[in-house]
Amino acid sequence: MTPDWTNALGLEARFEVARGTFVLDVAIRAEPSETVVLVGPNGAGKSTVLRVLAGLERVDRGSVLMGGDTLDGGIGGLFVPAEHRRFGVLPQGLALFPHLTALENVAYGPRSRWPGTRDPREEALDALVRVGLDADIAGRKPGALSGGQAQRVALARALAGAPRALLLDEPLSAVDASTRSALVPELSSWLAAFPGPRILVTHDASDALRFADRIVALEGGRVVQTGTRDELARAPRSRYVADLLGLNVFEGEANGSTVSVGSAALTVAGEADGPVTVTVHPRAVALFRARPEGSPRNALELEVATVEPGASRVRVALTGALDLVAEVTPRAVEDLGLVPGQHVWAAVKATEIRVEPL
Amino acid sequence: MDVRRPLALPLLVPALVAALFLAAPLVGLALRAPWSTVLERATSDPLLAALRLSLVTSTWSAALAFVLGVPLAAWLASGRSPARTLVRILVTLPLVLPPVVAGVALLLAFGRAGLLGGSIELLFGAALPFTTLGVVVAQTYVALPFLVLAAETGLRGVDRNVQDAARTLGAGPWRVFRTVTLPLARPALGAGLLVAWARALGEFGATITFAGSLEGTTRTLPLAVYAALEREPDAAIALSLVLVAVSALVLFLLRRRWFPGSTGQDAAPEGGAR
Repeated sequence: MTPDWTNALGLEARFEVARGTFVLDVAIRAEPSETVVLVGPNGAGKSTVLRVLAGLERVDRGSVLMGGDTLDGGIGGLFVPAEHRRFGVLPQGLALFPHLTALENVAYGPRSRWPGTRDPREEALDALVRVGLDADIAGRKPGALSGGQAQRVALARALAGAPRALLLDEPLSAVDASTRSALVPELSSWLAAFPGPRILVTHDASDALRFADRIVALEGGRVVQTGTRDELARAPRSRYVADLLGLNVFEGEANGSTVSVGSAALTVAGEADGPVTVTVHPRAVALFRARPEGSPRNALELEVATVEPGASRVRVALTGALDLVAEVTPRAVEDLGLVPGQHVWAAVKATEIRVEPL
Repeated sequence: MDVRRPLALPLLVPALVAALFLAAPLVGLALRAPWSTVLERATSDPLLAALRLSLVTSTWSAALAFVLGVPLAAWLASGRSPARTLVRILVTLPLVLPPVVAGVALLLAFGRAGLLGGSIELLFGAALPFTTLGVVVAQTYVALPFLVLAAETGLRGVDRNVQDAARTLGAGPWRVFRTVTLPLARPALGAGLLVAWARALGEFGATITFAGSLEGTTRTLPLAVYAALEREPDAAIALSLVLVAVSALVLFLLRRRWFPGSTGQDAAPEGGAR
């Protein structure tokens, strides 16, 4: 395959789409070589955004641009339909052609885009091998493929035919857990090798964090926050975003520099009054065997509920006056001998607690 | 997977009566058949002419219904609108219309003195009534609804996501229809074609009204049965047996689609990833 990827261009959209009472009002941008992950709960409108970008639906107002050229100018404006956008789309549920072999599925794009100019089967076979499939599955129909194989064929199909941008809708939803863990690093490298803009839709937090250069959080048809993982973690603008990033979020009542959350009272750095949301990063929670002395203003005796090892940190869920998650090093878990049921002291500095009026 | 459940007695008796009621005419036909001379009669010249005419015209009618009906079905399947509802009623009408009425209506539209009769005569150099082409027109008129309704159901059943995927891969609407929609709806279209053909084969009322019963030109098998009934009842029975055999063969070919429980195996569609 000789992709004409030399002039990778950015994809940019800012639009409104109304579907009955549901209004989608979105601004999203992906630069060349950038992976933007569109994340949000079910029904947030993520798939519709992808369909609009793909040219399967028109915007009511606003525009979709590729490298500054208009693809969709809204009602009465210019519209380039899906078949002329040359985007690599991986639809939700894969949507492979059930009546065609794996090879013909992948060859479909080149055949449609350049009819009669060249035999796309060699290119299709290359694409299948490139996504880690054996050449001998090329003759099988989708019904005879495993979930993981079907996923790879769908990806090969999206990548074949020199797409200018990649649009992937829940690319790992159709596989079981073990296949998924094998596919994640591979998908990561395929994305990295694609020089155009990449937009990926998911409702899975770990996918979002794993693949994203930038995250766009969509809730109820609106973008609630856009930024890198760190930017979002520093100031999450909604409970969904905080949960996504694994942050502790509580609702409480502020009275000066004290916030009462349930039966616990937290000392915070600023001053506030009335109902507030309180956010605590799990890494800001330190654990001790005995009541800590010194600077931490907040110390609570809690019970260990679960201990969940992650890649480099261990997530410790605590329960008691406050349900708090702490992220500590494996070393700390060992030193403290943390097991479920054990009592520990959790300490959080006042300056590490973020308070936002509700 | 042989699952047997006992049938309640109040259901069993009417069920038996229904089965016997449907079987009785066939049994009567079989018992009264002059078996010794059936082959001879079934190969007599007038009968062969009627059979040939029936096969030719019903095949043409089915083909015509397919070529015109599938695009109409595609339009009906492509969305929802008041116009589509109106057209669907129009399509369904010949199904409930008595075929004789359909024949009269056809005469008023395409007959010599009909609405379009003059233009047709100019175009083809002859009028439609009392011609073989007239038979095809009458049969197509009654067969088309079967094809359109079956095709619409089949086309609507094709996964929209798969068709959308084809569009994102650079296929325009015509290519999507040819390479994705049509192949995936093939079982339904095939069944529709076969039913339309069978309906055309059995057509009587509209044909005799619109095209008459001229031996060799418009006297199809059902018309020949009717014509023979008074003068040569044995010939009528032989002809009827031929029709029964052909109809049974069609149903046998359709068994997977229509009677999935009867063969003990599932009507396995081509495997699809959904």
